[in-house]
Amino acid sequence: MAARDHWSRREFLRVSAMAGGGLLAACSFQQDSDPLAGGAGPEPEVPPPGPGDSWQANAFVRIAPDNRITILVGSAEIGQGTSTAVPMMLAEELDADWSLVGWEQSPTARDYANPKTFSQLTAGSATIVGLYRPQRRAGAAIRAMLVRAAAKRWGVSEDSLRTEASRVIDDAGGRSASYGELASEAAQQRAPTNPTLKNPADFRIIGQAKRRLDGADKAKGATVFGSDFHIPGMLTALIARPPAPIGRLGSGADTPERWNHEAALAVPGVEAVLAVDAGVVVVAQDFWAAKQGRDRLDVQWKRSSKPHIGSGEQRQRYTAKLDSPGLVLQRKGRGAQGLRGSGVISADYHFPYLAHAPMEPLNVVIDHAPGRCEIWTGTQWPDGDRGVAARVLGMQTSQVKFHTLPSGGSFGRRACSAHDFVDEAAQVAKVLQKPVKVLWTREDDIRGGYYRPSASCRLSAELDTQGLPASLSARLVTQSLVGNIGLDELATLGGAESNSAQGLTDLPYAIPNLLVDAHNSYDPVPVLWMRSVSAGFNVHARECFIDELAQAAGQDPLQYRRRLLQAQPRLLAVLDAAASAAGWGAPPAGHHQGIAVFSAYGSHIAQVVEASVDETSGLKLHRVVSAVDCGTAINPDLLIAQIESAVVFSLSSAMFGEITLEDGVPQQSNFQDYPMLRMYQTPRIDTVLVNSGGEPGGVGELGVPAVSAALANAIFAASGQRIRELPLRKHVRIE
Amino acid sequence: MPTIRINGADHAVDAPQDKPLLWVLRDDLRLTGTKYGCGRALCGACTVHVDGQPARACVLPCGTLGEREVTTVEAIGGSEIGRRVQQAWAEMNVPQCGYCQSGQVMAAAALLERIPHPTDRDIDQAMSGNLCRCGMYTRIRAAIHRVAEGL
Repeated sequence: MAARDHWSRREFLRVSAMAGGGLLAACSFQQDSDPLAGGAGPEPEVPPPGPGDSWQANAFVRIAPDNRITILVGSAEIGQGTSTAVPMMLAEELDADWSLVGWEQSPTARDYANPKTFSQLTAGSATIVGLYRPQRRAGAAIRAMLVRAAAKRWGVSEDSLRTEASRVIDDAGGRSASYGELASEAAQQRAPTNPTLKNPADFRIIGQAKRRLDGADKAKGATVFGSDFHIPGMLTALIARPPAPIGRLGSGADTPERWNHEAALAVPGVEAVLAVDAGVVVVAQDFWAAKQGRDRLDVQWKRSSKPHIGSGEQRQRYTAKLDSPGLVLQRKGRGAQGLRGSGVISADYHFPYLAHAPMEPLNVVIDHAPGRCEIWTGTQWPDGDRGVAARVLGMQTSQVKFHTLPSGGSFGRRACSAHDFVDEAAQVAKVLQKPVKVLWTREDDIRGGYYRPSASCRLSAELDTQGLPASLSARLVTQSLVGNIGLDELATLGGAESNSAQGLTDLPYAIPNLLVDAHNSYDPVPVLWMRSVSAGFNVHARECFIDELAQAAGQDPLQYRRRLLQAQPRLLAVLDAAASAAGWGAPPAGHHQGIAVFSAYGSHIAQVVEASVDETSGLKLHRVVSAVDCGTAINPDLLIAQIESAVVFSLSSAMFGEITLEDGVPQQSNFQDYPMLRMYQTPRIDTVLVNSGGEPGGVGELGVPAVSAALANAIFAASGQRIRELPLRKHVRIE
Repeated sequence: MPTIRINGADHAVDAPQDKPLLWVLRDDLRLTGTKYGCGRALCGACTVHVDGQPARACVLPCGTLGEREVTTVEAIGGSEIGRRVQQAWAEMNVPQCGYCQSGQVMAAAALLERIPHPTDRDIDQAMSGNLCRCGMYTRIRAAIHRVAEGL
């Protein structure tokens, strides 16, 4: 059955003719003062705009006379494939010829906001979830206008026409016209407010494994990332930042006391040395000169009065806090009452700080002169970044023109709630008043703070006579992702996403008595969400602990989970699918398996890791099998790629990832001491889709949290060793 | 002032001898397909060919190149194998963020020139110097095998 889907009262579609032919459509999100907002009665159809309307700047679909369709994407392309999947959703309802569809990154404007994040923030696995209906509605409405135009042109009823591959077809009349031919006339039609959406059974583009629209350019090195962007007269700046990331927290920062100004200026190509709040800036003709200049600065830092913590000391504090009750986040049944005595099984899990380490280090190109500013950068949060730049420069937001470029990875780092990299670039530009590119080196990136928080988690349980957990307690010690930076109000926006207890307060298992409590630690280290956020540690701990309970009950880890998931049909289905695809219980000789599950963002996943541990070669990964139910896959191949990516990301963190602090200073600096999985260490990865239909769920982070636990469980199966602290390489040899 | 032969043309570059080739390419010649990832030959994002061999441009002083021929990702599509590698990459949805892929393509093209039908072990040896934070290793491997099938 086709859905009749209404535009919300605060958004509508505007379509007009392009100069020289073609059609331009924009979706306008109305302000609160709009007379349509809150009114009763049927929503009026939207009349074609008059000449001179300014909305065209925010067009999001162009149909050119040659039948090419360009779809502007408001979400950031950080590798996850939005530049392909978002156009697919619109093109589906438009009945577009996919071979003629292209994409462009949208401007920074309210019209491109994702309703799930209330902004252009691309985060929380929310792009597809948030845009599935708006994009389809827009496509369906434009299609209806093209059909109306054709019906008028031919003097037939709209109902007698159909559309396919960017053509309106009149079967009875034996004629057809391309969208490009009809575009100008279509722009004169009224836009429907409640376009009919397709029955998913009729999808021709959604559900197809289309090639990425940005794939060929990326294979040719032709994509222009932020660090590749150039404007005439542009200088390059590197910043000497305080060695302790505490210095990035504004007040309380370490401050530069002395530095060798002359030595830096003596480097050929160095043009200026500036001091700004972010640190000491070397501005030069190019990167190499700026780097040589910065290497000669020799900044002496004045320590702030804030404590400079060490990882060892922090671990002791966190471990001690596990002994005292925290803030209760969830209580079910009797809570943790009765969880004492000899029958209680308990385990503590510890997790280090992690750096996002996207392959492209942070960078910002900024061109500022009095009264104007233009910024180009790869970011997940253009509208937030723009606001911060305007504040630093003392300008109106509307005076700052902000361009989002493709990001060479991000994983949350470019969705910085403090907008640190744009903030400091604006500080540089404010003084310099010349076009400049602020670049980060890899060392700047790894030592730069805004880490995935460290955490300790204690899980305790008591088993009933069946061996199943009668009571479970989860106690967490970590830094709040939002409290440290004064953004507590954000805590409610993302729900579980920004909640440090994700994976514990949404436990899928049927356990009658439950208590989740947490200590928020206010350590002076800037922290930030990283792909899968707090589920990254909570689900790891939880899935390892379930394995420990299964062992205590003398039951198979798969069967044990099945018993506890009888009320979770979708999760149960992926669990069975993963077990079946992985050949659970019958691995090749010498190999051992571990299993784990995770549900979030409206999606479900079960993952099996097959590994071996032996005296001579240490830990070896052989195979990872994932089974996924995300409802509807927009592009199944890109979905599978996302899971493959998440598997490698998670295994890299679990096996190797650790930022340690000494006296507040990060001890790692580059890929030699912050390693990640390489080709020879990467196992075979199989991903099975068992989608149950309906609304699409998010998948960008889905594959991260469970697979590391499945690995730890496989290591136990192989060696009998329970590793309860990450990274694993501290406890098992990895070559 | 070194003269460097890049993608078939000589370039007189106004740069100090110790300036790495990477920054000559990116900043002096504005050939930005070759990427900076680590500056220490740890990640392979800056992989180019020097006389057909893969090399890390981020640690290669431009003054040491002499007469040697540098090929970058901008020109690798001019070779049959380079073209096929780029085509397989696009067809098999190998890139995600794509930032490391210039280096991956260059490393893969050098491997296939040397060994047209590489084993998994050959691929491990040739490609393990190239990091992909998006984790597309299994696709890179499959795409190399796909190209090999057509050779």
